Amino acid sequence: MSQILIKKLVKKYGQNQVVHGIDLEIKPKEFVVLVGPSGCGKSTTLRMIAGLEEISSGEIQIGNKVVNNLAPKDRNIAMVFQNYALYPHMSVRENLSFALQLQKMDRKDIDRRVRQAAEILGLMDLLERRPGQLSGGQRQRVAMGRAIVRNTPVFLFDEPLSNLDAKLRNQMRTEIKKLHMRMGTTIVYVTHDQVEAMTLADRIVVMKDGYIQQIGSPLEIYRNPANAFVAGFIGSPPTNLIEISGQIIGMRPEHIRLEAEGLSNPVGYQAQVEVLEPLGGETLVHTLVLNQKVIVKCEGLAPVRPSQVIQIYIDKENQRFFDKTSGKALNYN
Amino acid sequence: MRPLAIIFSLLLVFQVANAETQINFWHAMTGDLQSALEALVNNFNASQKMYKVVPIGKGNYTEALNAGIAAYRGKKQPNLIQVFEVGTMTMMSSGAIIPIQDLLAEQKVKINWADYVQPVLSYYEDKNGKLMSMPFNSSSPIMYYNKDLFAKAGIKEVPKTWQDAYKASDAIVKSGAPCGMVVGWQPWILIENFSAIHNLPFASLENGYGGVNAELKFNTPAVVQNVEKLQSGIKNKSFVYEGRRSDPARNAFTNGRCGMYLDTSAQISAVKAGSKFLWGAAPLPYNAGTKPQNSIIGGATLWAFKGFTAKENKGVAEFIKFLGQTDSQIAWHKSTGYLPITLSAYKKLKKEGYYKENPEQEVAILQLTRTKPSVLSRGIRLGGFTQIREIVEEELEKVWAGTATSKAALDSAVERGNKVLQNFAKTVK
Amino acid sequence: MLKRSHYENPILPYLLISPQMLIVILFFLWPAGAALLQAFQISDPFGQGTAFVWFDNFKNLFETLEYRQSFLKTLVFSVSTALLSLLMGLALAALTNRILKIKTVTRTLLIWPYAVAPAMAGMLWLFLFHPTYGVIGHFLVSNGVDWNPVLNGTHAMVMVIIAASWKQISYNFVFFLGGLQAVPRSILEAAAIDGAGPLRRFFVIVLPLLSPTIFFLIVMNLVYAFFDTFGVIHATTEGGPGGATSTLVYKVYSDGFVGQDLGGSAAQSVILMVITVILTIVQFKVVEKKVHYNG
Repeated sequence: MSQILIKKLVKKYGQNQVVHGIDLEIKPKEFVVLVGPSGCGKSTTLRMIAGLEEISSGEIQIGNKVVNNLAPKDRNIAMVFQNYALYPHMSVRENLSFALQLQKMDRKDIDRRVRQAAEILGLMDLLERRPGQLSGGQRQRVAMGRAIVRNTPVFLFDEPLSNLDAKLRNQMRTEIKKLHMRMGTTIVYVTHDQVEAMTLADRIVVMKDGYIQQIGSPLEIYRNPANAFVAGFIGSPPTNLIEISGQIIGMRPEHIRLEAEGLSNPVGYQAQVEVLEPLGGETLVHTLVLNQKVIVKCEGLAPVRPSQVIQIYIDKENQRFFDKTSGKALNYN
Repeated sequence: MRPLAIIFSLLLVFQVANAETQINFWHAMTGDLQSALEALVNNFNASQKMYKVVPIGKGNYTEALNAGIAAYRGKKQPNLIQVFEVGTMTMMSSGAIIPIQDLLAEQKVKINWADYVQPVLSYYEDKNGKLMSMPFNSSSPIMYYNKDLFAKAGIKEVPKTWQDAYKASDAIVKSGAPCGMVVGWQPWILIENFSAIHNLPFASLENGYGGVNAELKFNTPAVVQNVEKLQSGIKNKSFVYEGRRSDPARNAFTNGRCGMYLDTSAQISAVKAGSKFLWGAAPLPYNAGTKPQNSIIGGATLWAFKGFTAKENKGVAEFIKFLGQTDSQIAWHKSTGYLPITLSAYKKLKKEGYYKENPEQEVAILQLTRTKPSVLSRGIRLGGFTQIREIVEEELEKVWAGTATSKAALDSAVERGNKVLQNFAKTVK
Repeated sequence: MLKRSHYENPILPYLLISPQMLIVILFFLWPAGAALLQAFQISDPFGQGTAFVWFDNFKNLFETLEYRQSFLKTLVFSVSTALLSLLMGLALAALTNRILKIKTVTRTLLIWPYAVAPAMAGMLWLFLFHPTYGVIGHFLVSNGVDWNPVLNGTHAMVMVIIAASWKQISYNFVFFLGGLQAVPRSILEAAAIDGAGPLRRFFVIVLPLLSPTIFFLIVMNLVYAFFDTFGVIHATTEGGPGGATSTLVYKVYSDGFVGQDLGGSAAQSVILMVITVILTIVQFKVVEKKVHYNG
């Protein structure tokens, strides 16, 4: 049983193909995040699920029904847009009840649902305001409220947090997570921010250039990146990728140490310190190993200074090896 | 500064060497008529070295008059301006002009008035017989008819009376043509000329010649009846309305749709150029059983504005004299269809056999001179006459559209027109 | 709070606005004042005999049936012209807006009629509608319509309305297209997902968002129809037949310049002036109240 099933999905604009036959199965109540750099096809894929873009070839099923030729309104989905897409000439209440009115729902039921959603999102005092009179965070809540009232089995989020400042973004991220737990809806969420992907997702779909690079739980992807791209994209700071004797070696900054003690199977490299970034609880040490950048994350203050030549160490099992030409993980299972 | 001074003095020398007195002449002739007018002016300029007449076209009659008024108010008036006959009262009472007879007398330029066609002069004389402006282009309405359509409809004789004309018109439509009769300049032809020909008043006080307190009288039974008869012809298209002034009506005739076309004799050259069928011209119809008076003229005259030197006025006088010369008259008449207004020009043309070859050109002259003008067929002298004509146009259009009866429309025209007259009387001291 | 700029030299600000004020005085205030004075006088065209008559000119006007009828005709003409050109402009803009990349040539062609002189536009439609040799007129006649704008006042009115609105469609088109392109696509997509079909999206989302544009255009179109259509009417019907298309502004011309009744014509233009002032006040009042959506 799957909530959304995507088979060999292709999108072409004229001669220009931007999504190259992807397959994806999403289970009910699953929170799936499509992540990747801009232009990777994640938004296009989401918009094809929503019915806002035509499908060039392939098939999309929602709730076991092929929806390729269904209008957005008939797909039983709700969507939250990056710029909120609120109706500027309607009050918050009218924004929330618009879809329900179109369904010819009873007035009382509409009121009840709007009230429910407003309570969940803390919008009760803002119901009579217009979007122009709301802050960014409040608008974001209204946009989510518009999805909530519909009570559809699938929610689609298109970069919903990218217009908010960092603090608000963290806060809303948590709220979305809570919302998912509370509502139990299937969510497809598009973002370019790997932190959002890691924190929110049950499963992450990493995309690049219209291809899926890897599908897996956040931990799987963190631990076993399928290729050098995924390794470099996920994690903060990203995985160090250096080329040594025809192989690409991936080392996460948090796995590298300044001394070999406490490592069961240490491998050492000579490195020259370039810059130190003390963050208080930890320090990022930017070094050069064989003239390639390697960032080391150590706890507390690092006892090194710029231009010093030092040894850095990593457990052998924490190293990942990738093919130089294809980028594929060599020890991937 | 020095080079500039040299240039200026050179220019001055040049000007002195070229010192003809310039006479500005604003007119309202367009197309072929403008070319004819310019040819006439060129002849004058070539005939002497003292004066140079500069003709400047100012659009149609209304526009030219407005331009003249605005220019006079701005003290930039031309020496001479061509004004249509309905603007006569406006010009006369403007205080902005020198009566042409006075100007000629001041400049001691003699003109033999006895040689001029009297109905033309009388239209532009004041109460005491003083000529106010110089008749330039004069015409009178005539009836053009399509000989081919007449033959097809079996009409043997060109209708002389309105009663014959109605019948002919019906016959033409019955024979398959889409239009029996069409009329241009309808207020002038169906009201003003109709009244004059039947010796009926257009306005009280001798059609306004007797003073500014005249009232309109043209809603006489005969006029009403004729308009009514034409209205009834709209339905079967024995009478057709095409639009104001000449062009739409003439087009309906020259493209072969209409059997009869009543309009100014000045359309002769255009009809000649535009029609691909045999046609003829005849006098306007009159009611059976009446003795027709002369028709009245239309067209325009030349007015001399005040405010110029004696030398310039002398040039104006010379130009006016030149226009009356037999050769000028003949050239103008032949190229335009406007009437020759001197008897010597007319006689010379007749002697040359011109009217044998061009009988249509003589129709208006004969019609205009067939009787001695009566006080009612002399002309019309009213203030606000342009506005009155507009009102008559409007009211007649209501008749043709069937939204008013002939009687109601003409009564309304008289009533509305009288308001215009009263307003005008207030402005004249 | 209003900002106030301070100048070292107190005269400088006045000096800076003086050219503009000069233009306003010379080309607006002075003629308007002259018209106001003339409205209370009657004079011969040459301005030699002038008499002050208080409100006689106005009284005469409102006593004249033709003038009162002209009000009604103006209303019919203006509202129809505004409505027709607004609807056509909106329809064209909505259709064009669907094409993402409209070719510059096409857009230019759509804007072209606005550049056509009113008299030319009038002649064009007069020709098209001529019952004998006009394409549209001929079509109507051959389909059994007794089409004759020279004789039939209603036909003449229809012709003048079409000719006058044709010119204005381009103007409306440009503003509507701009307005439509300013409607964020995501809002329409959100509405589509919320369950609104294309028609409902247009009427419930797009039109309200366009309402400032629509209101602005209604006023502009009415002003155009009221005051700017002289050329079109002059070229097509000259106010005829029987005064059927003689709108207020056309009567100002025909009474003043053809009829040489300067006092009466000035009185009419004063009345038009009052109408413009009212329209302007209404516009400002409504625009002031208008909510700025994305404030």
